Amino acid sequence: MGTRYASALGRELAREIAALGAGEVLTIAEAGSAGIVIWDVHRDQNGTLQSQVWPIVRWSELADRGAASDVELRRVIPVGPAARLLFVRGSLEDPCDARAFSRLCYVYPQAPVFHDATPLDEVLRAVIADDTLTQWYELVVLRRTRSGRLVLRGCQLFPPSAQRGDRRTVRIRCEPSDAGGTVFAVIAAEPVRHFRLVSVESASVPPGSYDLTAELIRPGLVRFRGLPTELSADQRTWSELVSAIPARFDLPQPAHLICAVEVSGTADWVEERLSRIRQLIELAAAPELSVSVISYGSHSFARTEPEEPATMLTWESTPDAALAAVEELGSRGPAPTGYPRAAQIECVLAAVGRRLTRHPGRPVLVTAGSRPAFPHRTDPVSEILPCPARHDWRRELRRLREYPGIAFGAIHDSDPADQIWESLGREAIGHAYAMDIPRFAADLGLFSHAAQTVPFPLLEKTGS
Amino acid sequence: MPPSQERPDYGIAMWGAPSSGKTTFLSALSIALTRRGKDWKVIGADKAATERLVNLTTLLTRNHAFPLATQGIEGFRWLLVGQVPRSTGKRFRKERYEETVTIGLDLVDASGELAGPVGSAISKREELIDSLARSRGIVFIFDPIREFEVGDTFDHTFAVLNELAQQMVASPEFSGGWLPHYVAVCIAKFDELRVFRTAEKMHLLMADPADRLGLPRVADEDARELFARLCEVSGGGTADLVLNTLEQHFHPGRIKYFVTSAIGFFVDPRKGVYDPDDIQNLLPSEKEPGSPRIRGNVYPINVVEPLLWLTRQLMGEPGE
Repeated sequence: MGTRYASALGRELAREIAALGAGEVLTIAEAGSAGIVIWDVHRDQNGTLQSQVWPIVRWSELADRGAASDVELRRVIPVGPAARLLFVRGSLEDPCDARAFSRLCYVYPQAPVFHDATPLDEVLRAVIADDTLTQWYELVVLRRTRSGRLVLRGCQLFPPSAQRGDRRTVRIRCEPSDAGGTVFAVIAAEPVRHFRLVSVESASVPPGSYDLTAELIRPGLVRFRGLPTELSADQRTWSELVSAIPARFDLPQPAHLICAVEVSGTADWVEERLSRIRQLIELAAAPELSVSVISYGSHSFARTEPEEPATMLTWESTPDAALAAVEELGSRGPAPTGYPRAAQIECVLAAVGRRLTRHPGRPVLVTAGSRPAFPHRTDPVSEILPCPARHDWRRELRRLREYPGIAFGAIHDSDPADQIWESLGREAIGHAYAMDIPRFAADLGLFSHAAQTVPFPLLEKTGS
Repeated sequence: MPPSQERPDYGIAMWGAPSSGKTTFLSALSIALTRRGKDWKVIGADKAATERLVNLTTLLTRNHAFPLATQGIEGFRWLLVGQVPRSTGKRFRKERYEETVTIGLDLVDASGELAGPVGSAISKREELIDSLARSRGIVFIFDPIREFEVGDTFDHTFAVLNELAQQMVASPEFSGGWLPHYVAVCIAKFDELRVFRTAEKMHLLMADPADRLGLPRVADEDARELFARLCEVSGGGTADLVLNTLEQHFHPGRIKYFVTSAIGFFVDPRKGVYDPDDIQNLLPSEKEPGSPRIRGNVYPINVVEPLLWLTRQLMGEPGE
């Protein structure tokens, strides 16, 4: 570490500071023509370097009958023989001052002396800036046990020897918080699991999953990115925060969210549907949630227009993969309107019925669109042409309803009075332009609608 | 016998309410004859008529579009060329043979507005009455869908028939209080679901065993019954008067009813047969909601038959 510094003083300071243990103090006496300036450098309980500079002591204050007094020198620099002490000699033009400094070196013979033209504070600042962590830095998170109990624990961010600029990203989930917001607390942890707070910040973060990136600005300062709101210092005491943790936190059951989106229509409508689906996935995102995304449009009956079937973009994937699929759909723009009076909902239902298994969770089918399904045969009332594959949406829905716990939600942007939309919105129905997504998700069992607040983020498993 | 280029004494006129499908009916004629086989064909009597015939036909077959409604009166000088069975000799030594005949189809397609109650286009309207008076065969198009939705067929029928009767009252042919015409009453748009379902509920649907596609039909003998039934559910509540008005002015023996469709039912080209679960050949337009297009191939139903019946009557044949 010390080889980075050009001067002998820099190298020695780096060596001394790196070796500085808990409770130890490095004292630096900087002697100049004006007098002596004493610097004390130590590590606080978190291992963070702290430096203190004392008021200058003029040479005249150390003199006793014209010469420097040993008593006064020991009073100004009250360290024992084993103390970490070093002297920095500046310009001493007055012979009396030079003699006084010589006397000082005599009193503390163990202290090395350095001659350096660079001001000591600059050298010291550079060395302190390069200091590394001496303890683990962890983010305070909660872990939910199988029984629903919440356990406070640390999520390791930076190990000892981590340097400024180091980064670590963790996947967390924020649940609704009280007025104080969700707390992002960094602790310095020792091997025996004693910890001390490094920083406590908070913000009102909307519920959902986030990739939180922690950056070590310097020992003692960690900055977080990846949240939709800025963090600010939290004034609550630690005991207040800990006592706000509920004993239990009931999460929705594992679910398989299947989102079917009609991608034909105006660009505004399609974007609105995708936006609602995006919000729903983000809100419902949980380790136990798998998500499928299906796009659909209309059947083509004109010979010049090829049939575009309903497309399964993801199946039982992670919320992240599903969000990427939704994003990709949005970038495509709307599909051609095709036959204007119906859309391929019946084919979507048939495809879901074919793929759906009892694993991995309770199915929740959310359909976002405006047009009704094609009938399986010519409908004398609506006069809508039949589905070319002759899928019968009523039969397909009956089949799907046999899955235990299945829920149906509809995001409609036209007239939801149509029979199929009533069926598709059996548990929850909303208009794309005026939706209460949390309520919609709660009605589908994807989100806890009860007023449960959690003060700390929950750690999510990654790679699932 | 070479095709006659002369204007026949009596032409066939078309008549019906606006948007009842008169021009579409004519557009489907050539297709209907082609699908029928080699016995009859339609050709233009002159260059303009041929051009119009080709344009109307390709509009349906290639463009899958319907012709625009006629403005004013449009004449179609077309010729129907076909084989007619003939016989010579005495009773026990009769010889039968087929004769090629050419029948002038001097069709007059008048816009529906001209057939309405007396309005502003008096000269054009007089032209319609004149053309009907000159003709001895009338194709009367009854559009049940328009009747459901607008219910103005009686208005159009009653006014025109009274003016026609007034014009012909001095004619020696106006005997017994009957107008001298043969009238083929075409109940159009059989392919429309509401018409089809009405016929289905009345158990009037049948299939022609000779039709390899198995397309449904309503027998001519049942057509009047369907017409009467459709009149009962008219939007204007006066459609039942249409039937009586027609039969008051024309001799019932000179009226024949046909259930027709210019475009027919949808036949999936992959399957090649009619599917009762998927019958609609109309496709709503994505860009123009009020202008439907034709979904598949055109299989006209009873488009040729009314004209052949009329021509046979006009030729003095005993009929079918």
